[in-house]
Amino acid sequence: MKTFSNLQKKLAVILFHLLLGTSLFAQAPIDLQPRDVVAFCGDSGQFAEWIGAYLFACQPKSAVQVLVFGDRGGTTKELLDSTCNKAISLSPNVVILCYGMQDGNFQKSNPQTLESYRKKLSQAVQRLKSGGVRLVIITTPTALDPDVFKLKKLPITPEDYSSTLSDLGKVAQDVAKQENAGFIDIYTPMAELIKKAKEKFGPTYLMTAADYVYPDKGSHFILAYTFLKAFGMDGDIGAITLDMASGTATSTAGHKVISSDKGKVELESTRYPFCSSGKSLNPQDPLDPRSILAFFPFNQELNRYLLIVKNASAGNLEVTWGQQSKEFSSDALEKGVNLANEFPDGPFCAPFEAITKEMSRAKSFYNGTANRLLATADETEATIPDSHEVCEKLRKVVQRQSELLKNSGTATPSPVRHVITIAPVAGSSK
Amino acid sequence: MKIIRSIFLALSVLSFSQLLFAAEALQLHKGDIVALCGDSITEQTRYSLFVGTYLVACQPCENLSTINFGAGGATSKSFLETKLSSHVLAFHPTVATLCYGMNDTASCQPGVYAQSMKQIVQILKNNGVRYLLVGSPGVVDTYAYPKTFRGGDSETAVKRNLALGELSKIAEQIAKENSVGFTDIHSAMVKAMQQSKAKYGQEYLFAGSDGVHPDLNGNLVMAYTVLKGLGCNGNIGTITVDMKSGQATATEGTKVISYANGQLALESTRYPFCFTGDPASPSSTTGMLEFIPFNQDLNRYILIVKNSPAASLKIQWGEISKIFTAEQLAAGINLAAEFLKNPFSLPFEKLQETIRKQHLIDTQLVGNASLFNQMAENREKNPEVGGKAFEEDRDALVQFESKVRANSSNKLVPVRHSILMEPAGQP
Repeated sequence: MKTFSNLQKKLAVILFHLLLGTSLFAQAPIDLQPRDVVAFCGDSGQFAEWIGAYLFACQPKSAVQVLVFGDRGGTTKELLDSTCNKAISLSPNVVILCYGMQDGNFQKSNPQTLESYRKKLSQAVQRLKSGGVRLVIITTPTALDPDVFKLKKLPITPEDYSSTLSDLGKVAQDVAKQENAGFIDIYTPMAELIKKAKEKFGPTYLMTAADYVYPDKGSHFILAYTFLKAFGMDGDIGAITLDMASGTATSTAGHKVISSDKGKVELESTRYPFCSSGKSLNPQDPLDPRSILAFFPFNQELNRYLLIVKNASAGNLEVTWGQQSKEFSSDALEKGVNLANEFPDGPFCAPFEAITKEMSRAKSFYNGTANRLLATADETEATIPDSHEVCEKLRKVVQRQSELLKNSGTATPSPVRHVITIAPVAGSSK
Repeated sequence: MKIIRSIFLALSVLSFSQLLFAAEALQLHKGDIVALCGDSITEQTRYSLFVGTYLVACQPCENLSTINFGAGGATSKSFLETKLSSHVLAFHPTVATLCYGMNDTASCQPGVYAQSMKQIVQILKNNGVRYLLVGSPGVVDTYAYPKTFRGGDSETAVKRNLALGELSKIAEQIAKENSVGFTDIHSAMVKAMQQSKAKYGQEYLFAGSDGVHPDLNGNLVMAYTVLKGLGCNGNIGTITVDMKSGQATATEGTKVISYANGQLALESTRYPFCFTGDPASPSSTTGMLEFIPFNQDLNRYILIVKNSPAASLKIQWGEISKIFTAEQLAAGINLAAEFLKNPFSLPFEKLQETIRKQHLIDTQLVGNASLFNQMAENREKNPEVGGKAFEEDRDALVQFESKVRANSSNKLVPVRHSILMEPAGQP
């Protein structure tokens, strides 16, 4: 009876994931090329940093690089006024436009707002294409959390504003069609998962920042998943195979076996599994991105780092990776267990976090320091006589250092040495 | 009672002058570039702005300028390792002031501070810095700091200030051993904090609402100690009027345009330092004037009236008028202290705003999240390409900063103003 119950649960999970996979995330894959530079321009950027970290560290395509422009509160007006030019200055091949939350002006949907959004998006696509961008992708706006929306006491109901955002999303799709741009619907998966998370955890599980209307950690995870699926990522991070009878081990590209014996493999990896930041202190805490993983198959579809153990010496084995140990049946290990899923605090967490921090710092430079200095150059030239030459030099410095920063993102991730030990559990027989 | 309080204040002010500051002669030379180095308290452009504005407006000597090298979160060690050689020396400062320690007390041992400061002093001395002023760290606010950082335990502020006091002694010792200047910012702030809280209450925020970053009040005390440490003598100018002969003269920086019938017209290219705000507010500079002898020591703009035709005269300067006795006027009154709002207030504010913008640009170039930092990081990641770019780009940034800084100094415009003198009743 117990076995049947577990099977039922597993089937339910598989069915759930299949449903999600087909209904929410199935969109025509957007083909990224090796060495593509992908610029995210939008009103909320953390998911883009995670995508950047994924593309850099997990290396589904070689040397794809992400730049992030724009920040909370951005609108298509800023996109046209400055963000387009900033992005073009670093020669991206692909630009993703993710706007709408502020473009709706927190009003009921109306023709003027929709038309303004349409015009600006169209102009932005045209400008980017004439600036040499191979592919422009437009997304819908992100979704809102009705509970945060109520807390914020905005002058419109969440239902009405959801309707506005939905209409803006339709406009975005139209523009994409007219301008021959790509399109990704990020609104629908985010809205549906917010609904599902609240059904399970209740209204206090806030999916956008408590003081604002932009995605918080959990929903950034959903957005990262949505984009990576849209990019057609296959999720193969690597596989390590140990034959416990012979003590030999093999591994796929990006993972080099340094040594092995019948119960231990030492590896050096330049391809990382994705690691979500944060400790799992509370599975109901939306600030811990792992809490949202129950709702979509991130690790199963995008983050498979498999350990396969052949010729196990016992029925159950204890696997230790980093600081964590877990017990698995020899059957499970024969089929392969996903280390990324089973060991959320694995040895890649710290180096992966360093990469996301690097992404964040780069974003701060492009959007903060570089931006401010370019504005300073303009203001100085307008106010200080005979300053054209030094201002031009400053602009060139900003441009060159931005390029250098961009180029530094194409290096290979630092190698991580790690050890997996596999020990028979006493008393378990095959 | 008022007399006793005045005596107490006078004594405390006197002790300030005698105990805390070392430089006896002006240490600045014409054209000096003064590097103001420190942490976020320097980067927030308050005391550093006061020092920068004073050096341009009050002109202890000609053509002085400042560069703000403040960086949020900086310790003496981080400054030594990441900024000193790559950032500061690129600008070839001839004078430097140091104010580190606030973050050192949070993150490192006094030994690390001592070792780092020693090396900083040596590197600056060996690289063209003619005069170096080591400042001790400031204070944390005894009211706000525990609330912000330590859940209300007032002992934490006491302990932190003791730790800052320890670093202050180390700073003084290092300055002595290396024959460079020292200014005791810490003791000056401790004293001013005690006095201001005694007057306005313990909740008066001397060292800022977070307890660490002072508002304008605490920053004026810091600026006072730094300017004293640079040896500024406070002579802004003297205007002398002989009402009997009808003769008027003025010292360098102030030109007599005309004098007749008690009406004196002047044009000045040297300003007194100007103060703002409600004395009771931490966001003011006026509130500190009774606790530090800023006007006496650094801001003497003296009017001497000889042969007054009356026992007392009404003196009008700008929109304000006050009555003084003939004896007071014959001995000389300090216009800067007596007329806090005066004809220089607005031009001073405009000049300060220009220098503030320059300091903000400095921090964009060399501060915490700055272009120089990125250049250094790019050089580290890619020594070949980034290293070559660093050399070239550094020079471009120095040229840009130099242009902006020159412009901020040039914003000192001549101020026309008049002083009206007429017989008055009893003062």
